[in-house]
Amino acid sequence: MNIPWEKTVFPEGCQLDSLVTCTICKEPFSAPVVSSICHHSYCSFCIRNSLSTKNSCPVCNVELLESQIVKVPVLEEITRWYTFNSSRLYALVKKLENPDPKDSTGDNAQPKDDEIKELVEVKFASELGPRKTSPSDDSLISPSSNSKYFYIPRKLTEQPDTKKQKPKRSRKTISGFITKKSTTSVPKKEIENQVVVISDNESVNENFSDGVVEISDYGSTSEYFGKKKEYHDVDGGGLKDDEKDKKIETLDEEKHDSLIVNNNDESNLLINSSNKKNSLQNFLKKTPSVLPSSSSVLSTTRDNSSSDDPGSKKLPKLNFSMLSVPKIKEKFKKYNIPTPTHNGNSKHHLAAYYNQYLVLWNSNLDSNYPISKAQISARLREWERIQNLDQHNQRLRQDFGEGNSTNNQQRKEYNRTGSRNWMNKYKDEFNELVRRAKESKARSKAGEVE
Amino acid sequence: MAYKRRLLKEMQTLLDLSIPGLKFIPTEDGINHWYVDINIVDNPIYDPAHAFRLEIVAGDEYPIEPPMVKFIGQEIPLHPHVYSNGHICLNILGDGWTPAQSIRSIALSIQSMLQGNTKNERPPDDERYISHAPQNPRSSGWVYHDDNV
Repeated sequence: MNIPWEKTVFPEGCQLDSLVTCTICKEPFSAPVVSSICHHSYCSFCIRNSLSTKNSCPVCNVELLESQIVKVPVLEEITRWYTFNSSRLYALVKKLENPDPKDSTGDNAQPKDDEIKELVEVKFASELGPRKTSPSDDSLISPSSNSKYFYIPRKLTEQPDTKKQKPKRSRKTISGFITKKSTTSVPKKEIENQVVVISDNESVNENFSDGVVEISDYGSTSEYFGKKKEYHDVDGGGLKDDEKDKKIETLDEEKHDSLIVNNNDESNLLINSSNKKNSLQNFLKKTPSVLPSSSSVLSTTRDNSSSDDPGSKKLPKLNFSMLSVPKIKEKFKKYNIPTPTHNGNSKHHLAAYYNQYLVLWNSNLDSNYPISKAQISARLREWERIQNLDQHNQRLRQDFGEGNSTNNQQRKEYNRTGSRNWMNKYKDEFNELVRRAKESKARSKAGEVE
Repeated sequence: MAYKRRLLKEMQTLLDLSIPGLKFIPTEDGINHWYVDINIVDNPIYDPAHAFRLEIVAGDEYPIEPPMVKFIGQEIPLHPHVYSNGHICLNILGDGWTPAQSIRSIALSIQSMLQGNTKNERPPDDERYISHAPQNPRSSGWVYHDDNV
């Protein structure tokens, strides 16, 4: 994740960051599993890969078998939630740190996130024409090369479906963040964001809503707000009209919390708009009714593979020393494994190939969001390609780099000059050795006779 | 290199890191190849001004397999577990390796190993070992029997 929480007023964020990070790949968990012996967590893929070479827990070294790891669906959801929302959380914390950029004239490092909000505003302004909520806006808009964009998960908006969904849900209702205190003459005390909800009027059109989608993850935020507008209206949370019929609304802390939680639901929908079952809400609904893992996998992979696919359960480990190459190939057919592209007849390669497929396949079954079989095959082919390169490199290294240094020198010489020249050069030494060997043999024979 | 992203992350942290006595130097050979300059300050056996250079190469199986680690340069530190060709007899470089360790943890272990050293000597089988040692210490079969030093 690499969100620099330690530099904010909320350094505890680091702890969450590291809690959802796998110790092997140093990435946020994907399909996390937990050891039932020592209760350490890893990505399913990482720990299976690690256990295939050594049966012990990487953190505490206790003996651990692959059968002793259990998947943790809730940890996967937590990780996903954090992955999607950490950048926004970070922006919020930064804002708490520095609510009014005007006051911190001496501190230039801080207001970057506010600049994003400014840009959001600029976007609005450019598409809507002049639109000022306060006279002080001009002074705040700063042209900036904005490093903070790095933290915004662009994935959220790259789905073309979002635009299709948008009119349905938000009904041309547009919203965005505004950071300035000056815009709010709202009676409620606000520590949190203020949100401007621009209601549907003649000046707002579809283009404008597209503009919002382009502004990174605020697109999803606005969608949320669009949906939730009625709720706020009913609540009467400090509405205020200005000359352009804009309603300025504040969120108190409670609402804000709920916003963050629910928003994940929203962003999941945006990402997997084709597969709405993946939303957090659905996940929460699912958990009480303790579904067996295989059925939940089936429900989510239905698009990609038929539900009666014999390969929807975990693959067993094979004992390759007991199997011949044709037998291995039979097994490949049985488990529906794509045939290797290289070295199809080398038992060693087939074994490594199968084991890699096993790790990929079994770890995919631990995920709440499994990938399709075609994607697994693609990863397998990628592994095979790298493996092939490695072998090639190793052979080169063995020829030239490695091995006993003197031995190596001789071998190089041998390669260069050919065996005959080598024989000529070392003939004397060779003959000397032969002579000595004969002598010692004769001596030992003589010793025996005596 | 299935875990390229992990190496990139480690590189990022190593470059930002400031541990007294350790200096991580990236090489032109790629993100998996590092030099580490180690200074030992409070041990009379070693010159505090002299930096011993450690070579760390993370292989294609890293972090499932340990990286290749050895001392290089003119001066190899005197230590009962460090051979004169730079090879180090340390279990975390072989059987004791786990993927939860990192390049940083290895460098720290070796630094503390030298820091705590009290014997100004080479391993007893030094000559025998270096006469037939392979280039890569990972190819040697190590026996970790001496826990006293």
